[in-house]
Amino acid sequence: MDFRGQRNAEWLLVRILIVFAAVSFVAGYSQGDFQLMVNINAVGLLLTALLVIPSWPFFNRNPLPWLAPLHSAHEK
Amino acid sequence: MGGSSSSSMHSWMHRGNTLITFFGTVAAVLCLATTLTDLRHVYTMPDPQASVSLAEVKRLAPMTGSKEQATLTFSMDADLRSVFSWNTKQLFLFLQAEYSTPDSTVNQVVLWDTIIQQKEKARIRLKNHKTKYSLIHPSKGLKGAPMNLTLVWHVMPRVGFMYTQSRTFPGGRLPDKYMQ
Repeated sequence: MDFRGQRNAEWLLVRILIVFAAVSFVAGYSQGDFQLMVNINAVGLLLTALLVIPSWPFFNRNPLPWLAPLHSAHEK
Repeated sequence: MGGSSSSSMHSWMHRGNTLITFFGTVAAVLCLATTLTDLRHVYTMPDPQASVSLAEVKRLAPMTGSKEQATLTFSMDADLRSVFSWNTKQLFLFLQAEYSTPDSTVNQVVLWDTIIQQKEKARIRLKNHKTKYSLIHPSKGLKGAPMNLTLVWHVMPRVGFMYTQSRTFPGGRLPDKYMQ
């Protein structure tokens, strides 16, 4: 995962978990169902893990440009 | 957490760690929010209804070791359904006899208890019900002792604070002489 990918992954992670938590709280409280809140958060955690833990190609679109190799003694 | 630094995201294990740690913070905030709803519930719920009475003293007799034992039945009509909130795990409900004797003024003995895990089961009607535990006094003095019956319930939440409520009812006086 390149540097920009790392930043994007963390940005996503924080926002997805917060959105799931907020939705789960409203749903659980309005339905009077604590287990519903727990389940929604479990789904959110799994989805986020699937999204940010593997190094997906879309996190690798900004590779760091390395300097061209210097000419060295080997080159003869 | 959530800063601009991405230094903890470069390997899959670091990303897993960041995820679990942040999830822990989110879960703690949810627990706090849930506790606040319970606080509101406690102040706004309709008063639970309960009435308990002593039905009959079946037996009052001396025991070995200068103890005394009373065997009682009681009746109860309680509706504790309003106590349940979305965060209530269970109620621990017990009935306690409180009496005083010439040698000891404050005595509390648990006569019966139960655990209620569903709101629908918090409607309880018992008629001439036998106590679960007998009333044993460690010395003499039960004869003619004035008694109260207190119904106590501990409300246990899934997350947050536990609290206790109770109602006390007059239980009359124990008989003036032994009865087998």
